Amino acid sequence: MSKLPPPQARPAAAYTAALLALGLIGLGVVGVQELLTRQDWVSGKPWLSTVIDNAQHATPASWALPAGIAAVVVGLMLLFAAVKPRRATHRRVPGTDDAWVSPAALATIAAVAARRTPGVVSADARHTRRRIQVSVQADADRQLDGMDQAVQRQVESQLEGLSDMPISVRSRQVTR
Amino acid sequence: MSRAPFRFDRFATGFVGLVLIAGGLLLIDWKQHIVRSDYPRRLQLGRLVEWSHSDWWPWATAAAGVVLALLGLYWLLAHLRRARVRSFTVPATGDGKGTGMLTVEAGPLESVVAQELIDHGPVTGANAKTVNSRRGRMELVTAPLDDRATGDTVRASYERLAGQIVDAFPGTGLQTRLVLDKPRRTRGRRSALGGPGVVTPAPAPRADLTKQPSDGSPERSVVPVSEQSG
Repeated sequence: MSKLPPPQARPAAAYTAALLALGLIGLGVVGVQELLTRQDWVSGKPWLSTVIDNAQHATPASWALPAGIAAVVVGLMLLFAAVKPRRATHRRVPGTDDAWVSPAALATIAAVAARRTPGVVSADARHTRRRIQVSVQADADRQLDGMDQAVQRQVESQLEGLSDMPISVRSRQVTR
Repeated sequence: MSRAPFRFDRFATGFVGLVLIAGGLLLIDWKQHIVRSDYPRRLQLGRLVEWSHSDWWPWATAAAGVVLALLGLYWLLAHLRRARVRSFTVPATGDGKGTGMLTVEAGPLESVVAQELIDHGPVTGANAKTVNSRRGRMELVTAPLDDRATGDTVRASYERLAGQIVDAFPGTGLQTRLVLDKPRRTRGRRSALGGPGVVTPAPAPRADLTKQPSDGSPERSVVPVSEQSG
């Protein structure tokens, strides 16, 4: 069976890139504003030459340290976003080349299967990247140990061949 | 599946990150004199101040600004670009000599593939797209899974669908990817599952590769089973 890559979410760098692209457009606006104001086609002071005029007198005042630290922190975050691997959004259906199922779909199926277990009043399931957690509310007159095992069997039976994610079950009795 | 420029995104993000780190460290050292102490007291901008008061400066910044804005817009829109295929060619085998080419419109194919999965798979809907991926041309089928689906029903549906596509378009390298998402709760909508644990028997692939129209030209078509059996 070939090892094809799973469906993946957009990389974090795609979102930072969108911000950088907007930043480029913003720089473009600043450049054009310089021409419009210097030619008196619109009123106002030119932003770019004003910044340059003020910057030539700049000294390392009290703002320099926090600004420097902020720049380093943002830079590190961007560097992390640049190298962060893309997250797999789906898991392979065992025994198939290229069929994939999302953990959210597995959790929903697990919850529906758990609700079909005798004695279960309600059930909900959540998923992490590695496991499915099923929470059930059982009849007040049911033994919770047996209920856990019954739900576990029911859910495992339903998900057999669909996923190899571990399943954990937590039962509690309905309070009346 | 998109053709968004993720590699360039990573490069640009990393580059800007490094520039910010370098600039930030320089700013900290300018203030604190941790590494060097021979920085000028005031920021030296060289001839930039003089240039910024020249006549050509606003025209140059405007030209650079237009270029930067266009680049930013192009970069932004590149993330919306899809790798969708509108049509593709199939090596013709109708005359037994492999001459000629057939063109397949992706739209009708996608409709048939999606309907096929809806009719016979443990799903409550389906959407198919023909896309170019790094692995080649692919029929990307996404569908909300029926909440009574089992591994067997999913596997059978996938194998049936992938087999039909391979049978219908041999030699094209057209692959099938099935992506199943969270069940969608829609009132009155049923999947091919007849009830809990009951699976509609999956008929054999029904791709009709031999149909010859009256004019004798080769033709390929995938006919939905519902149409064939009805």
